[in-house]
Amino acid sequence: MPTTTNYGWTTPADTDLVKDGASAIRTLGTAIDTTTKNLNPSTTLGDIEYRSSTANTNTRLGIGTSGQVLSVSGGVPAWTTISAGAFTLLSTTSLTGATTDITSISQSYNTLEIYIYGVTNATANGVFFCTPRNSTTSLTVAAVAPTSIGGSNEVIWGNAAGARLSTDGSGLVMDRTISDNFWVVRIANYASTTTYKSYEVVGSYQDTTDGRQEGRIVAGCVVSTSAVDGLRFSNSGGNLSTGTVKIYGVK
Amino acid sequence: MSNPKIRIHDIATNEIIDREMTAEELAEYTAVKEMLKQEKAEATAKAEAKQAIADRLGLTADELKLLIS
Repeated sequence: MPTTTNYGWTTPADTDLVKDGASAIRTLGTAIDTTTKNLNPSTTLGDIEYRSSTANTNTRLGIGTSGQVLSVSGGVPAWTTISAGAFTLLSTTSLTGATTDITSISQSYNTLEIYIYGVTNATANGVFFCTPRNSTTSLTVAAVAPTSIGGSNEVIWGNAAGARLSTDGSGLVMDRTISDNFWVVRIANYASTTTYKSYEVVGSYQDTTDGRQEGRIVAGCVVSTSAVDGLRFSNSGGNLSTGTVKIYGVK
Repeated sequence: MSNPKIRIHDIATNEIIDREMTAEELAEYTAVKEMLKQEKAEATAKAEAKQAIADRLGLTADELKLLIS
């Protein structure tokens, strides 16, 4: 009896009698049904399949529990619970336009660690800032940043410019054309809907006044009990030209 | 004249939308820019006032820094 090329289903030969057609169709249909089920063993919402060691037979993997990630165990996919302290890269975003918003940040972690680097902008030197948001609302940040060692502190309170990653008004102005910059922003307890969240920035960028690489530290908090599920990046000096933001969730 | 551009990256779906700001987004963007402009003006005025005092006292910027550090 002839068979199909890929799955070896039995089909009638050209010389078979018409009276045997029903039986031949039934045999073919059963073979197709068996193969299809072997390739698609899903039974439940969220199931995924992967290839098993047997040809044309997939293995069903039921959905994991909330917060688990897909990893590899023994050469096959497996849902794994992230251990405490582990970093998970949630997103990579290129900065552009007057404003870049990052939305729908997972609420499954304890802390957000955000790396921002290679930032330049058009038109003029300005204040580069990162504002925590909830849905479509900018959240208030209260923070303090020393403008220089021994100098007075820059105090930031309650506005939509959030925590400034660079400054424009009191020295240490960022050169908009130099992409040698890097900031780490950390928001602890960001998913809480009952408490304020600590907000810290450590970074450096090239200063316009003397061309030195300057450090910047900002410490404060997000003055809101709303969860942080978004971030807004903008530069008051003009459109963002380059820059990358990587968001990590920390368990 | 067209509004400034905004990029929205939904990281749950990895969908990226580049579009003009809505009126509401533009209002917030403009308000923040104005606020930062005002902050800069205040900081500049403060620095000038500080320098004027230093000049009256005959102090250089470095001497003044040393004095308040």
